[in-house]
Amino acid sequence: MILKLVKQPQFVIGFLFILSLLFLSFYWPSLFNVNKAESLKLMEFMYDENGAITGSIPFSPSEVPPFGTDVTGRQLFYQILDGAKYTLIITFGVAFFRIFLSVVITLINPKANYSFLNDLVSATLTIPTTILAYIFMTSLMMKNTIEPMGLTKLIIIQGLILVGIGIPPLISTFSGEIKSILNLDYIKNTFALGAKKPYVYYRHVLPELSTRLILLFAQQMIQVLILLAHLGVLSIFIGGAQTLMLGDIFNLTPKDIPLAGEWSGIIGMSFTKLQTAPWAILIPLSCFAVTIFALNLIIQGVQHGVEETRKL
Amino acid sequence: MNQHILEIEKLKVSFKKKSEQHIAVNEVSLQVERGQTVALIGESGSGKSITSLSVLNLLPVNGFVESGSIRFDGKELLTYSDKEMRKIRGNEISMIFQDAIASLNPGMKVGIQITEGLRYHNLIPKPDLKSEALQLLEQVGFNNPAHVYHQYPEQLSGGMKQRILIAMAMSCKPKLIIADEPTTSLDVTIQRQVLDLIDQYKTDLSASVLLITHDFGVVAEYADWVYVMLGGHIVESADVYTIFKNPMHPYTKALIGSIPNPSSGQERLKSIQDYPLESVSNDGRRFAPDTYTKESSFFDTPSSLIEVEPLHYVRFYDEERKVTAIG
Repeated sequence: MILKLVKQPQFVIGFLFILSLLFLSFYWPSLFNVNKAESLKLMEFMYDENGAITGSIPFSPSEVPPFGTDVTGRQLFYQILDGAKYTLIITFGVAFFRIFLSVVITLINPKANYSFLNDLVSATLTIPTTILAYIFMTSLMMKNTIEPMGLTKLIIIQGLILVGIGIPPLISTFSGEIKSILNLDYIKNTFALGAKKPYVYYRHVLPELSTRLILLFAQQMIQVLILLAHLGVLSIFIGGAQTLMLGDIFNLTPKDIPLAGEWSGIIGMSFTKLQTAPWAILIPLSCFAVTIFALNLIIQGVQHGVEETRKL
Repeated sequence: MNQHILEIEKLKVSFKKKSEQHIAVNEVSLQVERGQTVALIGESGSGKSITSLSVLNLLPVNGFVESGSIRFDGKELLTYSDKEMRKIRGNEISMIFQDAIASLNPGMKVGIQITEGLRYHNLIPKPDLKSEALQLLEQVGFNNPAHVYHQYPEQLSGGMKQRILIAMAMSCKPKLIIADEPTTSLDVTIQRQVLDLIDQYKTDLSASVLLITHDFGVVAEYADWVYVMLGGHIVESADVYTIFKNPMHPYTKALIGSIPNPSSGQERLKSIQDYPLESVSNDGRRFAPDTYTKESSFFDTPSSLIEVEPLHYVRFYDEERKVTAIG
């Protein structure tokens, strides 16, 4: 199967894009020969050679190429590169735990029909996941404001919320699939030989489910990326935010700066400036779109690979 | 030592579908003697496979044993926990399923699959599993076991796959093999090879075989004792010679009559439905059931197996039904 995937151009392109993005995200200071702290520092004004102010934040892509700056004056290009690893790791982690926990919960009692859960899932399909996430996240952020918690704890709880809201529909999907796999004759034959359930799951059920798991994992990554982008628009920052006072001494305004550098934070931070600095929102949104496109290529590659295997 | 390796008594198996409950096996009693091949014969849906799956406690999710007893080697299997049943499955009772193509994992080499039972029961050390697999492959008639060991199921013919299944079933040297229509998906020339292999195993190890089939030709050749099933009931049982010499229940006659016989000069092969069950009686008693329609209220009217001659049992309606039907 892996050999088949390597022969799929869509899979290779998508996979290489994600891999390159991660590589760049970790090694951009050495690759571009820049100082990381210097490149990501806040910059309120731009000065000419004589020290005179020539412009103030946010700077457009023509003023600070290639992507301009956000509302705090930090270069978007470097922020995007640096934030890619956090965005991808959070997305990867949430998608992984959604799939892993759903499979484990389903396998604990594969005979359960989860009819209540199925009804609940179909009834809540009309409620966008973003709204659900927003409700839970705002409650958490309020609690965090009253009783501040550590960054790690906050990220873990936010991660659990993102994982939790994706699990019920996945259990609903997996329960049907696992039931039909357990009804396959060779699984019955294995049980008739005296096999234990964990052995059957590990040796027969999971390999049978593997292609579906890869596809669902990529789909979940896309869903999490979309959710993160939406949460960014709703000013929900993964890892919380720090409030800074920005502006000149006569007009200081508080500004929430995300603590973790992932892309949705960049969107959320600049959303109020949609009219005056559209690039600060459109560029991270485009990055989400391109990453989703790459993941879609991976999905297509896997699907073509499976079809070719079936034809043989 | 008990002369019967398997004794099933008044086994009742039902299936739940939403709030409804359907009886699939209705008070079935049968015995398998040590060293014998017992055939359980009947058309599809008569409850043969469900009876055999009950023995291994491998009923489908919505199926359950309502009542009865299944004793294997004197032990009551229905009281066994899942852990205890795992020790029996494959090790003491093996099953050969009818669909060889579907019964092997397409993604695993057959050599590995053959020794799965041995691995679960830790019967031989892991390093010896391969040599045992090669030996088993040779035993089931493969001339080049080393080559077959590395093949995937899709690279083998139907007959070869069935032989692999037999090798899997034989691997732990069980005392009882349940062969659930092992030749259904095979052509006639291969059928004989497969049945000969099972028969050879039985003879070599003095094992017993519960042969589930709908083919009376197979029964005639390999079985010692026959149970005929219809709609979840045993309708007739006797040794194989009596069944062929003096079949009494019209359904048994129908099954025997459906065997193609070129010398009979029949223009058209008779189907089971060509043999009416209604209004057929013996010595004033009506055979039960007297309808092929399972939904009929008469289908499950109380009936019993009556010994019509020594060790020849036929199902008749109990007294009340006899009176209402005939009287």
